[in-house]
Amino acid sequence: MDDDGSVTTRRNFLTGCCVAMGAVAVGATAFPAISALRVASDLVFGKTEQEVDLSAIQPGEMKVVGLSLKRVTLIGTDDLVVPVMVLHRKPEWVRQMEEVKYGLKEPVEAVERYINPEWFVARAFCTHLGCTPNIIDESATPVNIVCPCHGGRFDTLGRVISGPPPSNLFLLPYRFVSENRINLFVSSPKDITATKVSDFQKA
Amino acid sequence: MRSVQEWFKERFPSIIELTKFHATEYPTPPNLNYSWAFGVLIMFFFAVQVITGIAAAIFYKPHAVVAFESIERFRRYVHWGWLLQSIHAVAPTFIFAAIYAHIGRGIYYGSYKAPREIVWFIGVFLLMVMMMESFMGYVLPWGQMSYWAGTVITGLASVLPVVGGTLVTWIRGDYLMSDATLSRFYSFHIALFPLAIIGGLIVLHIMALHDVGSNNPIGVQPRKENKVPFYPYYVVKDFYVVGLVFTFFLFIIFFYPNLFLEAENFQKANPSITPAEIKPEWYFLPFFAMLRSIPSKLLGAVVLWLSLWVFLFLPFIDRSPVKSNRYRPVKRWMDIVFFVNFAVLGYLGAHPPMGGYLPAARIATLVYFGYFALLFAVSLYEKKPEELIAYENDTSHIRLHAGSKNIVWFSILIIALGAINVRAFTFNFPTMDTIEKGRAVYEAKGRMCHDMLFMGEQALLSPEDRAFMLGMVPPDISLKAKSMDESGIRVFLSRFIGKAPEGSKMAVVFTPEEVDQLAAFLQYSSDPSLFLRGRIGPWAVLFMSVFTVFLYLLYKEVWRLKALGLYDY
Repeated sequence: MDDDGSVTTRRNFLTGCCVAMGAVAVGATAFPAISALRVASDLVFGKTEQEVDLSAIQPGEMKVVGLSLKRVTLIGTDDLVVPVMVLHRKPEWVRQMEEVKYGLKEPVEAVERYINPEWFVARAFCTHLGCTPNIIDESATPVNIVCPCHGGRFDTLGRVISGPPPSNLFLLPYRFVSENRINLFVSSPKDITATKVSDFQKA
Repeated sequence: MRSVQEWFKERFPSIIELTKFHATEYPTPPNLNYSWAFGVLIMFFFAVQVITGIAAAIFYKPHAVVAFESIERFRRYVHWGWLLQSIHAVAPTFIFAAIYAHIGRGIYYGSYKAPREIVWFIGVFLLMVMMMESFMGYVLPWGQMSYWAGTVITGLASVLPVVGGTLVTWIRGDYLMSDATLSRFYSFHIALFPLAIIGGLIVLHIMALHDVGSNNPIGVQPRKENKVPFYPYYVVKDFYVVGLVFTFFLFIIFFYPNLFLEAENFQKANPSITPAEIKPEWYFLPFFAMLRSIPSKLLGAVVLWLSLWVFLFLPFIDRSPVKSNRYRPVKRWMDIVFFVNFAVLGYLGAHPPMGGYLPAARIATLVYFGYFALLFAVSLYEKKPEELIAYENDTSHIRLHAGSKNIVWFSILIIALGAINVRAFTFNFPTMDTIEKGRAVYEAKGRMCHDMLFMGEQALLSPEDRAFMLGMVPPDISLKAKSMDESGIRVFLSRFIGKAPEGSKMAVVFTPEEVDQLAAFLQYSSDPSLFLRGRIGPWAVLFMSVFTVFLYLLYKEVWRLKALGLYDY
């Protein structure tokens, strides 16, 4: 190789131009292909309301219901189901929580986690990796909600006590329509990551 | 860069050796002309198909009930789906054009002769599996043509004696074309064929080629010291050709996305109605013409099968000691006749086998096969000319392919790219205003009877009422501008200007303005990506044009320095 700078100036310039334009071309080609992986525009997170009847849930029982976001596409219905836990807290659990001292990973006032202390309503979605925490451990003090996947432990207001979950269970908007009926209502993806009841009570 | 190579060399030396052997340092004859770029072009478009195919496979549903709708959903509701889908549907046209040119180059310059027979055999098999791959892909949209082409082609296997019927059922996975057939074609189309069979054969094709070296327009193998390394000389040249063709490809994608697609296939498959005219994609038309010209089911299938398999025997049919047509004046003319005849067969395949077309197709079929018989006879008498012997004695006489006449081609390129861009920037899309007026016309005069489900509009009358009143359910017209063609829809609607034509069930009258507005609305409803296409298209084509000019200049500069001996790799 006789690398004479004066001979290759023109070639080097052209190489630079071509490489730069080639990079733009590759980027412009990759963009649509990667962009196609985003949520398709017919998969809307529309305004949804759903009533839950509480009367059948005994004290100490938990019920997991699916909040269905109805969606219609050209190829049929494609509903998105958000699992929601409704926990009927025993009066002694409520008392016990006030009496026993225990550490919280992400401290939040108890009153920020419920509308009526007898009922805890939240997303049944462990903040570790998304399993449904559905085991109630009454042998622990205070009583725990346990996630079956990796053993994350929450108190009966969904606040992390121990285990891998990094933060408290998410709440989602609901209101009492009568003494034993609640109405779940969501209208955007932001709604299902609430952390305090005040997040949706103001609106 | 050097140290990265060293690092790899100590840990994974075979990857360095492989890259050098098959890409960077592959010794290439210095005199290859542009026709040697088609192989790279095929691989480029194959890669395009793999990338867009992966995206399409995510959203496509291989089920007879929703397959057709799932593609429309991909086009309308997935970000950039319209672009990815268009590319995936149009690229086969470019792949097959490049394949035929690639094979034509091989025939013209005798690339099938010793020592490249194995390269040739693999290539012929590649052609066949590419045909199957594109056929199965064509079935997937489950439109009218998909369904009926699928029925006809799978039915071909029934000509086999004894096992024919069983074989057809086995291929279809059902007693007739059905969802079962669609599902297996989907699996084969996205996995078995492209990844295992085509991918594997491409690797073998290239490995076999690189063991014996590329042919060249003279047909004499240069000694190693008279060759040039693939990088950078042919890399820059092939990039230029890819850039040029891709510019043209983008122009088609953005401005004529339906040019190579069958209008009939924008209607959903209907097993009870065969379309008036069944016609495969243009690249199958020559073979289709041969099949139709034979008045016997068995013989027709045999001829179709032979028309491809005969290429496997080409290395043995051609007995001449000379490869390239530069030194074979008789074969040069025979090849030109063969190529023109192939195009004529394509033309005949596009017309119904009636009147003069049928005898013409029979003659063209005879010419197709006669070529091979005549080649055998002619090649027995051919001798090696003195000039070739001189080349064989001293291959350093084989000169670089970098003639001054390229400046002519370059001027043509500049003018062509300019013309494409002017066309692109002045392309006439309807305005949103006209489309909205067209929508109002539909609401007032069409919605009583016609659904437009892809636009979320249902007819005001129920299907039962419409069937009772008209004796039929009027069709959904969301895609009418595609299945009838934009000009077709205008012609059709124009018949209703002033008064409805005799015998029409459409009791409606339009003014000329309403025809324009409705046509614009139907054009929009058949493809809502219209405006995005119109906005992005000119810039995409312009960018690729400029890029191509730079690739050309780089290619010329690298070869100029080589020719002057000023800089060498």
